[in-house]
Amino acid sequence: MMEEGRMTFWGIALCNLKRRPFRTACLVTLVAALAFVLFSGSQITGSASNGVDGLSKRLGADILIVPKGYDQKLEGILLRGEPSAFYLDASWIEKIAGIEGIEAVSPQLFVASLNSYCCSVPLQLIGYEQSTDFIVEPWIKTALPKALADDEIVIGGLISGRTGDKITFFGREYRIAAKMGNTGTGFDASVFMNMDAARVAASDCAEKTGAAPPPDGSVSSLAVIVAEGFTASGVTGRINNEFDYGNSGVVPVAAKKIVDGVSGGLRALTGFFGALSAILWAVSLLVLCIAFSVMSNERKREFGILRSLGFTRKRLAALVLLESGAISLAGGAIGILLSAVMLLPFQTYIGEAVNMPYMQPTPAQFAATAAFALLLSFVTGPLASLPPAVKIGRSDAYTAIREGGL
Amino acid sequence: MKNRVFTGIGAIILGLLVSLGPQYLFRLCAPLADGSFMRCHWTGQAEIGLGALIALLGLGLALSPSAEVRLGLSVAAILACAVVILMPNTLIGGCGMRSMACRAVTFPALTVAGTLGMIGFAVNALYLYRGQRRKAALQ
Repeated sequence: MMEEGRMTFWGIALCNLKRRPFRTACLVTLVAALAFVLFSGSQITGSASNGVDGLSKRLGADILIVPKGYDQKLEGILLRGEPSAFYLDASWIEKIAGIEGIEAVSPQLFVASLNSYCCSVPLQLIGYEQSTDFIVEPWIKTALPKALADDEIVIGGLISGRTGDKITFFGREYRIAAKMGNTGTGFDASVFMNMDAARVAASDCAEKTGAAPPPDGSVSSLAVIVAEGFTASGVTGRINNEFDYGNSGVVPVAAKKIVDGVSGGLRALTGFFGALSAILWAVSLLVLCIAFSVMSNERKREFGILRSLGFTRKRLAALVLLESGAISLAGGAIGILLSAVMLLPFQTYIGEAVNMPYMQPTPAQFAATAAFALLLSFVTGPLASLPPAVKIGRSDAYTAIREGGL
Repeated sequence: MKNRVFTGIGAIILGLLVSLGPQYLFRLCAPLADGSFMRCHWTGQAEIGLGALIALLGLGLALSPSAEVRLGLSVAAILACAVVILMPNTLIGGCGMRSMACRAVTFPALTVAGTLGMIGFAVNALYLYRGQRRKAALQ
């Protein structure tokens, strides 16, 4: 049975690959490395791209207003969920709402938790005004159709816990009313509660840590929506003029500026992986081209004998293409499999390492990326073996056997 | 002989990685300020035992001349690797946030090590089984 198999067209190709196991293994490894980089690069940039999309959808506001000097902290909260607490006098809500070109203003209160039940790191607690909110509520509504009670919270996708579970912050128990889906942003590591509950949590925090409690009625940031016919940059300038920028104690941050900053990082990441993939692809193509040329030169005698046994020129060329195709297919599959095994479990760590919003692609995106990487790896082999295959197709049996040294 | 050395040393390295990795290499979360441990600590303790078991199976694979015994040890190692994966992901678990060290680094590393171990031991078991069948057919 085995012997019969070897005499087939596929059998001859496989036997040729098996005859030189070290060379075959090296070529498969080369293509596997190419597939690994192609797939990993596409997955990482795709996840970062999803994260940036999620961030721009998730922000929901055109301008965010924070106390002077806390604009960087705001980015930390939005992008990475880094816990911070800072306060702004509530009178700013009225002042900002009175500026021309502003359609809506909604306050949020940030409280940094102590080590909680689950984790040795603090979490960001975010209180929001349910009557005016347009940032948190639209996302929560999908999972929670009613308003949050004072002892209820909504947790981000990165925090473990199920609806109905109890979590303790500063000695007070809260019931998980809903869990948000992953957004790839800092909100995934945040806990949301209504404004009254957040004020109580802030007082509890001050009591437990000995820090100064937040001033009565204070908030941390104001989310602003710009009215139609006005631009965010125009309104930002108006806020600065109105309140004597630099001395007013508040800083307006255009949401687009935060997204643009992250998009810049994404472009750099995409460029890096694009360049790495292109270099590796060119190197793989060159090495495979040289390897197949050397192989076909070594096998001139074999090709001449096959021609004299009745193999057509087309069939000989197809044999070379088949061998190279088998190498690149095996390499591509191994590279993608290894990459998937490495990437999937470590996605949280990779997301932290790239330091930008990171959201795993959907299964369809994952499959499309794998197919793309496999296709590109697969064509590399036959493409590299095309010149020797054409050359073999041109030579006649007699010359091939003579040149082969028989 | 080649098979014995290769699989035996591979299993011992894997066992040491599973056993000591969470303690020294891809470390678990630090204890809380009051000195108490979080859940991931106990996963780490369980993995010490499992890693030691895999290393012992590796020793058996390296020393046993009988292919049948090595086939049995390989199957046992597959099951041990499956438990290496189940400990952090199902049986004990870890901290409450996916961004914590245990869930971002330690558990994925254990999952990858366990998966690769399962694949490696399964290939070895298949290789030994086919060898046994071939031997039986010749007799």
